[in-house]
Amino acid sequence: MSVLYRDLRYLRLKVPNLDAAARYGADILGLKLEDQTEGALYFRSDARNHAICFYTEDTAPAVAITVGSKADLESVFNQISQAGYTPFWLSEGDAEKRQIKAGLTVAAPNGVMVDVVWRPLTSGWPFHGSRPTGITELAAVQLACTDIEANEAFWMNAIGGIVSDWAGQAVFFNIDGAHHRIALYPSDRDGVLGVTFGVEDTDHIMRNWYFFQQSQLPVVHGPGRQPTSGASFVSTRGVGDILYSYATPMDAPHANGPRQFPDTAQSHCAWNSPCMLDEFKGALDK
Amino acid sequence: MIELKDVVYCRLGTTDLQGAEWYAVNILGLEVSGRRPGAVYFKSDERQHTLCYFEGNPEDQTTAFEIGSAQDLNLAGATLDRLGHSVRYGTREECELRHVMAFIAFKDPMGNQIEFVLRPDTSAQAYHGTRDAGITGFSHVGLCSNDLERDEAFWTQVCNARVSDRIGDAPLMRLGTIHHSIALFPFHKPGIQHINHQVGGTDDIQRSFNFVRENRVNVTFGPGRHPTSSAEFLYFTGPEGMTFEYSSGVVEIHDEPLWRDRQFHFEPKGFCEWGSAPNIAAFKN
Repeated sequence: MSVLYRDLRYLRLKVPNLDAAARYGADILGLKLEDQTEGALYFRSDARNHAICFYTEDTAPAVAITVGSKADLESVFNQISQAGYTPFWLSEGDAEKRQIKAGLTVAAPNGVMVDVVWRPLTSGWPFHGSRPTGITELAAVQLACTDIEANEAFWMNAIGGIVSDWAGQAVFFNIDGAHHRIALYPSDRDGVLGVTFGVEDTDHIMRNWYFFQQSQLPVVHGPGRQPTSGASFVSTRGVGDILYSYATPMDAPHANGPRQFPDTAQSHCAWNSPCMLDEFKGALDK
Repeated sequence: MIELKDVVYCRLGTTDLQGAEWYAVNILGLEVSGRRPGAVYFKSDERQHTLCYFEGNPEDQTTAFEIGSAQDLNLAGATLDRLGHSVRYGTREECELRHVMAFIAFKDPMGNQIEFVLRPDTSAQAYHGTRDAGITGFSHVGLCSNDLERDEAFWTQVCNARVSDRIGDAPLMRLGTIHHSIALFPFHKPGIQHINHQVGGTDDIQRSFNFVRENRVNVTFGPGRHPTSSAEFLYFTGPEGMTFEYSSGVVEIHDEPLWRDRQFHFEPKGFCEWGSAPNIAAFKN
């Protein structure tokens, strides 16, 4: 019944100040400012015409996943309704803002909107960032959840995600074949926890780590390696008060189905890197 | 030409043998392979030992290299004698203490204590470190030099070392196929500048980085990646101020005639392509 999504498409995030966000996106993250409107900035990380949109209007953050056909869009609408949630069709104006042909949106239990989109804009021009970050793609979004069970049920039943692993109560969702594009973490707050950009290899993780330090940016986790996805990562905190991570390519989802990792910090970093966030410490190591 | 096969062991004097043993086992991750009065031997691979700490002056540091035959050892002794190095042949008791068949001891032009050894012991007992540092073996040493040109000439013209790359005037030299088994770095007095152990991979380097930090060991350089050998590395401080290095992924040179030594900056970017800067005297101007 559930459709296979094409990809994780974008993150939409409210920021207090577009000028600061423009500098952060380009100079720190190494993204390319592709488009801007009066109230929004659209940054590229790959062939997607935008992977992250910073805006100032007072609306909930959104994360988008792509379907391949109008029929799939309609079947997802029905699947969400049947699971007991309320999806809405995006208006033409909303679709234009999101650089898509059409789509729906639904509120996840943690308040983050999930956009399911059809025909999102791809750019014909190559991505080229301001510094050699090694960025290859938008890789994943992490979500903070006060009610982890409710959010897991939503992503499983309404969206049709497949659990690829658990680390304690944190859960990793496969939506397009990759180990995860969405990760849910138990937290004392609701909302977007962070976004991860894929980079080529560990060299880029380490170079970006030294870049963070030289730029006096906080290193909130890593350099480390997720034992679940197998990806090396390093994370800082930036505009919109979320984490920004770089990560190497993930392993394929485990062939024999999801694995349960213990509720410890080591389940979030196999290298035992220092961590400033409770979400990645596991209940047993807090 | 003196044909050296490989670097074999280091012998380090210490005023605190117990402390040095604790560090070698619990931090470095070596395995005690033998004891003699006033000396402890450590294993890192198939060799009987690759490091020996003994009660003595911390400046008493020796590096040993293997020579392939008794005839070559005698020829080496004669060559070094002729060049004016004072060569001493090891006594039976000294050989026994080093687990070798025979050796000669001398000082290189800088005054570094060197031993050329014959038939060092390999043991059937596998190395199994107390801590899971991922060590695959003792691999190279850095030696101090206050005249890099003079000392490069000794190792490459009197001995068979070949320069793989240079960082400033500091040569990284190979004896076999491994990018470097011996390197020279600028320092005003003789001694071992650093001791390298290879580890299995990136995970080992990174886990050790967090492990040694958590144990209040001073990390002096890295984690990083050398643009010369392409190895990922971590440098940290050991007993008596000795610098130890873990590294992984050192390039091997199999096509001798085609390899061209390259010149790198004697600056952080010549030592690390990730952006870390060394806090090691011999790696700084």
